[in-house]
Amino acid sequence: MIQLRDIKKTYKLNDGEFNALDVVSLDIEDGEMLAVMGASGSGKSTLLNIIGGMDKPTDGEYKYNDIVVSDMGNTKLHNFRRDTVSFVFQQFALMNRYTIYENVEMPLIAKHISKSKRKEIVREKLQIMNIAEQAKKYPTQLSGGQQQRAAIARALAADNKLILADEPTGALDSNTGNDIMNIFTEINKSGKTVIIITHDEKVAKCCQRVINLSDGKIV
Amino acid sequence: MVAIIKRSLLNRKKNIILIILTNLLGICLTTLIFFQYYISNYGEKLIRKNLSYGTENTYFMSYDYALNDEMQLKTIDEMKNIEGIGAVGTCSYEELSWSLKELYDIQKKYEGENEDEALNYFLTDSSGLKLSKIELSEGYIDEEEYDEFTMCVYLGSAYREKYSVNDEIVIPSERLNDEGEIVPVDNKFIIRGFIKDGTGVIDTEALCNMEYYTYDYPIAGTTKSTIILQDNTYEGRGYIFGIEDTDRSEEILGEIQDIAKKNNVEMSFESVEESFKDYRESTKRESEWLTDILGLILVTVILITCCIQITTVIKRKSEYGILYADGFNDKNISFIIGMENLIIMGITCVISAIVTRYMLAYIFTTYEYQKVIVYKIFAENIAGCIVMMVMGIWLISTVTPVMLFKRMRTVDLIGGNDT
Repeated sequence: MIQLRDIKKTYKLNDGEFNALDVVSLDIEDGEMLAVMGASGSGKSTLLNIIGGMDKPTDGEYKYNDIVVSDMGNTKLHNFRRDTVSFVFQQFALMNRYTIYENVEMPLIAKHISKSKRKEIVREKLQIMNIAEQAKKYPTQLSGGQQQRAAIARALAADNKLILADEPTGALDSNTGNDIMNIFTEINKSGKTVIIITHDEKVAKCCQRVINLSDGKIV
Repeated sequence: MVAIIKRSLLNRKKNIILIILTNLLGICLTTLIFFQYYISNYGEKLIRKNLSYGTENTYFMSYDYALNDEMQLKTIDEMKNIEGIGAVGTCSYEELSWSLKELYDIQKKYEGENEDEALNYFLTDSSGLKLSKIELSEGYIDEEEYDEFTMCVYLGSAYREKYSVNDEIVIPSERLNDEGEIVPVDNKFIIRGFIKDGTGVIDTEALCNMEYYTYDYPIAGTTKSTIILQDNTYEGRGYIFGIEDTDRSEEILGEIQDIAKKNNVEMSFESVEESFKDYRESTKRESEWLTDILGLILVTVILITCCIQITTVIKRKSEYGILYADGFNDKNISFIIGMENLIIMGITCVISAIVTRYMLAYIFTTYEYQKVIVYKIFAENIAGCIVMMVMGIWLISTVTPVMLFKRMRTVDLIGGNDT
């Protein structure tokens, strides 16, 4: 369970300070599928980064399964991210110099999983995502939808409980976007917690709960 | 992790070639300058170690030998009779000459027909041999000097399996007699001993021209070296003498001057120690601007290499951001960057060392024996400098991006243009 209490994130600017998150409190149950909506600059991505351990709050407390994440040092935060969180980005965040297979394999390398086991897992996830035939190709040789499937395969390969998606359909056409959302729904049904940031009402409707952020506050 | 490093290296082949070439150029230039320093020090060290009477009591003579050759030889002979003088002699390094072709034939016979190196030998009289600390592994130093066709020979250890002490090698040859006729002659080489590896012999001619031959101080004790003892009356050899009775140094030097005056020979002499002082003065002036150039080259190479390395890694910051997001930690990222840089700098180091070593051998060596010295200086001094330089570059180019990445947020790293 995710518990956010009075989370504040302040950025220092040349002409003062900017509150990206202004005393946000939120509980997210295990296995929940949550959409976070809001205008640009409302603090959605900041919230996602804090939940994912990619950023630290300026103030407040963030607990994951009763473990205080907000107080973790760099090493513990890295381990938390490696063992708990998987990300899916709007621009896919695939490494162009590596094949799809290798991209999907990366989180498994970070987890020190043996080569034979990695091979097995990567093949399975690519098959689930229907991109097994693209394994040897490079990201630039794939369509946007295929790239996003690869990014999801990478997230699934890590087998983490928390999937965080930042505008996963933002760079895709509506049909492909629907396919991707179906995949997320399936992932959620398998017991994983899915948090999706989106502008799209259709995407939000696929989720069990929707929260709206405005000027760093939940409204 | 190995797969990531391997892929990363394969993706930057051109970049790696550029780094290797930059370093190679820099290391080669730096080595040349380093070599200038070390070779002069090495020469001095070798002379100090190998002069029987020490640098304070060994003098080299220069005289205008073209004027009256007979009188000069007379002077040398008279000098040898001065009480308290250790030895007056010469020892010089030679390459194969027609008159010693037979000895070359022996070497060729022993080493096989494919051996194409010229025979390298030291030609010395018994006094010249006495001035150097010759160490033999077997045999003895012969005081007797032989005639033109009978020579006393000391061989390097490579010949020990083939010959024994007191073996005589007779090689039929021919020569022009006084009437201009070609007559048969037997050249006889008597093996008097085997030179201990690493033994030094001073090339007196090089010593007399120290400013010009800073690296011409040979080691005779290489496995293939040969010393030929011969009555040495050739022109153009630099003579050195050593004073045994050091209490009478000034008196002996006065006697030498008197002999020269009596024989009407213009002669000057200086102790080896004094010549070192003069030599150091001149090299000190050179070293000032050499140090500036060396510093400039080193800083430029280090800066260029570090810039290439750091910009390459920073250009790929989004990749590292993704790796962070995939669960890699600082330690993993440092390992990847460090190993990648280490491999590149390792390759650079090995290539630079090989090229530099051979470059030095070809540029700074006229004769085969000099390679021994060049390689020794390279192993003892220059190789270490190359390793230090490469390690410095590796450290800077690894620590800088790692520290930078540590200060950046993962989201900012991913936000690059390179994903």
